[in-house]
Amino acid sequence: MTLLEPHDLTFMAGAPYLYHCHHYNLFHDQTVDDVLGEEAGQRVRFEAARAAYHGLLAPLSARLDKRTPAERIELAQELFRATGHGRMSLDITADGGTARGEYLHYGYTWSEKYGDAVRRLETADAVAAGFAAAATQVAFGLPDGSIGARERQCVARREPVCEFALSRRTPGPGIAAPVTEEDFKRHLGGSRGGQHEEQIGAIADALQGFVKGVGGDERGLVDAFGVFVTLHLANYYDQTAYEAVRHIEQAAPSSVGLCEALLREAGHVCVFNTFGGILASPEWEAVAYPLSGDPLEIIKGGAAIARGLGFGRWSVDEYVPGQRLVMCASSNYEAPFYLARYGRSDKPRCYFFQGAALAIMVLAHRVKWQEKPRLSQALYNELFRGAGLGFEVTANRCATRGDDCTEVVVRAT
Amino acid sequence: MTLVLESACFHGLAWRADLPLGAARDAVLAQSGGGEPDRTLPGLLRIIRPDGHQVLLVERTGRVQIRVAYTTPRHARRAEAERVYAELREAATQARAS
Amino acid sequence: MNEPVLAAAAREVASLRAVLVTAMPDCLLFDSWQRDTAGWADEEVATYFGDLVRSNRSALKSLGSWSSEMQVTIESADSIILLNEIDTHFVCGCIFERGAPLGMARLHTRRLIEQIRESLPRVEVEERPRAVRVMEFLHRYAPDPHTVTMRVALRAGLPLASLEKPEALDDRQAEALENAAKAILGLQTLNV
Repeated sequence: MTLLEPHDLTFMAGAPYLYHCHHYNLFHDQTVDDVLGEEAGQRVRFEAARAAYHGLLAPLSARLDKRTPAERIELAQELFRATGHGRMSLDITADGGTARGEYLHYGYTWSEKYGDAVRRLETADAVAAGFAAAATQVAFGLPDGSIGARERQCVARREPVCEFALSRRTPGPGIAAPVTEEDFKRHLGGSRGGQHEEQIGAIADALQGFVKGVGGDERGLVDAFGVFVTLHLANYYDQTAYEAVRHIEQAAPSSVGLCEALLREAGHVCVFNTFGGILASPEWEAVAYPLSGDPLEIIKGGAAIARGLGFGRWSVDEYVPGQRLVMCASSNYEAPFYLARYGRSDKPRCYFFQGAALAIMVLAHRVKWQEKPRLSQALYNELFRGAGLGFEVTANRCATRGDDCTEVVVRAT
Repeated sequence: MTLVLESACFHGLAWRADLPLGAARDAVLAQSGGGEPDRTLPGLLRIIRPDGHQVLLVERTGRVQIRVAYTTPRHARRAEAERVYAELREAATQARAS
Repeated sequence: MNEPVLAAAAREVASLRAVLVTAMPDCLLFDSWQRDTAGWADEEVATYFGDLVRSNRSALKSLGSWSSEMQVTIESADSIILLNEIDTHFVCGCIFERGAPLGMARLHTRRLIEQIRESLPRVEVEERPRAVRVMEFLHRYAPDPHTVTMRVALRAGLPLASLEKPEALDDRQAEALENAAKAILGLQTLNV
């Protein structure tokens, strides 16, 4: 594991990774399916996960000198558990086989979050399916795309277990290689901080040190800050999000704005649940400060948490209480992927950063932290219902467009 | 002395537990069942009880949080938190008496 | 009907906590009475009661065992809840203390319904467009309700503005809306 220190970006065996909790993960996948439809959504998410995990497991096995299929399968299963995705048992040969999952992050947490409210007809674990396929490919030295997977049973559909059928297939044409640490470095500009840099940097360092030490428990879930997080691959998030956007740009250009709005909304979901959960946690109180209700604490905290979770070097360029926040990301995990995969964009594309910055301002000014609120779905709905949001965000600069950094302005409406 | 639901990723897992000032640390340490507390984060004591529930203490502020094991069924989480809280209060009472 | 009618009907039943009358098919609160102020929103509860009765009716019809005398009984930790169709336009929900004998609760409910029935207005229901009811159903039950209109627009391939006036959707658009709603809610059919 390496930390590209001036950029607060993290890599494992050259694969960019970061931490996201299940609220974000579920909303992200839901958005991809909303845009692409269930069938294409499942396929795109599976293929992205398979490619991303192939890009991690192959170099990791080589670096750790895991040469035999048994060694590589063991490594993959342990990695999956340690990164908070649940427990996966692989019973595979070079021709495929079966995989069985317990406490799988997506299926298990979907049931916990939504299971009492809605029924699910489709399976939830495209990421686990992609992982199982990639683990099989790497174990037996097959190229990416050689193994397909289908989730036959899923706890999110109220079935007793999650079970996958894996089978051999001929890789299709045009499978893009995952974006690597080297690609990121090629597309990163200079690193820079902003206001309150010393304090933000110190908290971020402490958070980075803490998250590096946490790992999955015996069930394969990571509980840190009272939040269930996954160590997840940037390639997965970026590929699925941008493939969804590119699809709608071609298929239904008039709906692009909706897709972009939901990708920004995913940023709201993340900041409210993960950032909010961290800010409200005893861990935060120990490592940073108890929340007094001063909005600036949330603004600084937001930048520090983003860095701590491997989102990149987010900083505060300007802050006028209640009125205006200018946030800058001299690095993030969206732009390098976009540039490496698609080249320069003609418009801002760092949707997650845009949504997250706006949500930080909402959290700072519309949540009464001194009253120790519960960060419930009801509070989320109250805060982020379109008309009552109270703030709007615009992207001034974006690294995907060739600017030297990504900068957004959040203004009171 | 109260037990109040706090924010957590899953509903009903995190509870703020008020304990008498001066006795919180001993009460929390008494939950370890002989095990060593986790001190990964400076200033934070984390105890994993034998039953899987966790108790956290922010040493600087005295804040105590009970984290019910996430495998506890949703309907049983409050009762489990109350059981742990009762044990914490009992331990706090003993700590003050000794 | 006004409050005294419900209050008078409920007065003699000590174990009765609340009565809610729901207007169907829109599941809107028509009238309510509570012995003490409870911590719930009558409008919301009345809506759920209406939906429950409708779902129950559909399930019984699919089993071939529906009759107009059907009753839904819920025994929760602190209440006994009895739901009945007064007629095709109104549903009555009676909430009793948990300790009330079930037989007595049923007897009281039957008597209450007779008294309430007398005071209900004669209703000519105006059938609203199905697309309107589908959107209302989604806003009530979909996860993350503030994003549901955007989600439906994407899934159905409909302009966002058109979903703000679902009554103007044509048949093809209404069908696309309904399919999107089913996918979001994980339902094979929508009973709205």
